Amino acid sequence: MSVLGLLIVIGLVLAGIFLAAFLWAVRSGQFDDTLTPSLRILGDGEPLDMKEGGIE
Amino acid sequence: MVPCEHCGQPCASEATTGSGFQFCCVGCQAVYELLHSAGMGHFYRLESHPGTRMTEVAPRTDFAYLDRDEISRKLLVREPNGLARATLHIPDIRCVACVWLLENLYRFDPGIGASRVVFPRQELTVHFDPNQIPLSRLVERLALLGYPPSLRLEALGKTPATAPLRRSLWLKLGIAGFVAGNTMLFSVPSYLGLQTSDGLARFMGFASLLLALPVVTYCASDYWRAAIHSLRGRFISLDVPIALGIAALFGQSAFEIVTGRGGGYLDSLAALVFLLLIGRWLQGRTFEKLRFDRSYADYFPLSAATLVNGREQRVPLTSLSVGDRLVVRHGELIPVDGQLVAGEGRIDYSFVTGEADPVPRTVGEELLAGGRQLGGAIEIDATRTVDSSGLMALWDRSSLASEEAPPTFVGQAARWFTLGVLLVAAGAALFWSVVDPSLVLTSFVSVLIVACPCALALATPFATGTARGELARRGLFLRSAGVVERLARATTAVFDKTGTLTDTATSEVTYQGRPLEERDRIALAAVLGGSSHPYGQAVRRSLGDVPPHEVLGYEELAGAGCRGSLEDRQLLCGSRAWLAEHGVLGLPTDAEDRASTVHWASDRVYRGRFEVVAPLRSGLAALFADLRRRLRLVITSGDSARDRDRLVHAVGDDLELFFRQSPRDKHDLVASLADHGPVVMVGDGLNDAAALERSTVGIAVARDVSVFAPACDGLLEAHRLSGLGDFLRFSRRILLVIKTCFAVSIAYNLIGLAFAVSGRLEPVVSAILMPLSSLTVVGLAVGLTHLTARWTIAR
Repeated sequence: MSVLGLLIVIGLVLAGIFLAAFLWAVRSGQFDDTLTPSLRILGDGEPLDMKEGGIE
Repeated sequence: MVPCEHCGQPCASEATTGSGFQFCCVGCQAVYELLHSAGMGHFYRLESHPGTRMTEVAPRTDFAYLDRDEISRKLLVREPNGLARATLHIPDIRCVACVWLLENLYRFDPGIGASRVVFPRQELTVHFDPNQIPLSRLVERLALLGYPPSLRLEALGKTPATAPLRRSLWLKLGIAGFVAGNTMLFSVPSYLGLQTSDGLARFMGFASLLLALPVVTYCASDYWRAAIHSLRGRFISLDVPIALGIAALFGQSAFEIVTGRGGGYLDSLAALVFLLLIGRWLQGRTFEKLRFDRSYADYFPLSAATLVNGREQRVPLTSLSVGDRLVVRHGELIPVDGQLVAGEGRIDYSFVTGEADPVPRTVGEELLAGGRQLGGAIEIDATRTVDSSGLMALWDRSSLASEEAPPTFVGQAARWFTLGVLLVAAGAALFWSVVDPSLVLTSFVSVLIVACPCALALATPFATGTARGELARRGLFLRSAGVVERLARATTAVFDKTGTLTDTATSEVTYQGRPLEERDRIALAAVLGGSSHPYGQAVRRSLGDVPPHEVLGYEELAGAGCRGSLEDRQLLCGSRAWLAEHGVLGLPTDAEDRASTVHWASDRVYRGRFEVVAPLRSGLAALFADLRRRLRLVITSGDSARDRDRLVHAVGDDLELFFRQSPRDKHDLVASLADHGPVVMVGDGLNDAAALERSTVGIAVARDVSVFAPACDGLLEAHRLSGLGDFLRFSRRILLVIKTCFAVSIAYNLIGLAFAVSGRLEPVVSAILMPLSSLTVVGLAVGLTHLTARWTIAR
């Protein structure tokens, strides 16, 4: 049964890491606006030739 | 027709061409070329024709006033590295291409750094170096690109945004969820009745106790605070039994774990708090684009054009002083009370006073702030400053109106529930003190634990929160979930007329006089085709499709009328005074001369007149027939009684109608009606603001809910007004849903109580019963609300 105790500790530590990651994400504002990033990604991928002086 | 490459509007025949594309105007072409020369042609690949229509190349406004210290101090946030940050509201942010362009602003100017768009709020935050590029140039740059920020007086009043409140709710949710999951895991052995060694059981007990600490102290802190607050105020809210239940759960569990008697109920506790927080999250969801607390400052511009030594200069509204000379152009707002000194005023007060017709004003007359000038430019001498102008004074008064939360069904239920629970707990304790004193404390605490109104506390937030989402999907946006309950209890409905029951954005034209022949139509259409006046244009549209003809000698006097000749006929259209001035014979003498009347004459002979009225919205007859069955109906209007017949014809003659009501009258009317029962006020303009605030539920009708509407509890999309009856019926049924959930939850509580009073509340029973009752109630509340919405309201 001491195996169970060990597993609990490991489980808690792992879950704790995820909790910490979540708390960090909230504090850094990642949950403030959940819509814009999904639009922003669509604007990525601009071809290089455009970036350097138009397409004409 | 070819769509404009920039904005997608159809190009006229005289469209400008460049770079192999057609543009509707030089403005759009200029932006196109600007973007290409900056290497940002990608903009046009993200969406087809993503731009905003420009018409002109350069913005007409001069933004220099933004660099004044008193303005920039409010708009800019200085950062420690010498840079600055500004957050601007840009209503034209609509698509992916907009986001991309605005976040790549830095490519236009070395002074601009990173910029970020918050799409749901249509906000742009720009970091820039104010020494290289002042705020005025930044705003001008945005305007040049077709993204002018909306600069309203309100910007000066607000403080820079702090971290959103919802972050703390997310944190609490995360922690509570984590603890609920893990403590449940610890309890699995005892759920299954497995034998665990004493050491392990104690270890798990202490571990869950440790985990539960932040849940009780941090995650549940709002409930503690609310419970203490309500006890201080000597009333019992639902938070009191919740706090009691949490305290009992935690106290009993801690006692059992520390003394080694058992495992406690910490898993139930954490799960309960987690569910409560989810309910709160659901209830508190916001509509980011919408604001329900607007004041006149959101309606007024940030600056006004003044004349200083004959030169026009834009200054901040707040630094206007008495005696300043202002220029107000067509469509602009009169920012302060003043005296007309030049030009002809034709002022649309519909939003401020509810009068439907623009009022003519001549030189020397007083003008009130808040009206919109239609027609040519006028000059005004300010007689008051912004703060003391009539409208603002009214606003201050209305904000004084006290708002006390009316007792809700839940509030009343909570009181009886708490008393009942305490009685049962005391009764059980008394019984056991006689029979078996060792069970006194256990039974007392067990009752508190089992009767913790978790299900009760969950029913309302889940039902009203879901209901709010369903209503929003159908065009009614409520300020908070609690409004659903208040809406359900309404016994009186008060409607404003102008802009609420009538649609001021469109117009209906009626004609009286000598019948119009085909050639009259053609001639009138040709002459009015050149008119810039809204009524002239409305009459032109009412004439339908007629072949265009060329007009000779066209002339228009803004706000008065126009003339021109065609096929040897001389045509005059406009106000009665304009026709009289040109010596027209046979002018009617009887008719009241209203601003909404367009007269016409051919070769100086009077022919007839067009009445331009705002039509009633569609579906009103059905709406009033529906509402009449349950509600007392009242219509109040700032306008004259001339619409009485039209209204009575459309909605029936048994309504109470009030005309020529000032904003103050409307407020007093609602206040007196509110003595007899909850009042729903439906209005649209600033003139209704005080009444909206005084009513139980104030609903503002708006064509576009994300632009200005006065402070209110709910925003209704104008075309959904006819669905108001359904919305009210829906809210009443939601109360039924909540009551059903209460009944189910009380049934569960009674079963639990049977165990508790007998002093035999096993952790397993509690572990099963509590989450089961909570989940049943949550499922019922959400499911029934969805179904009710589907049955009650047509999409």
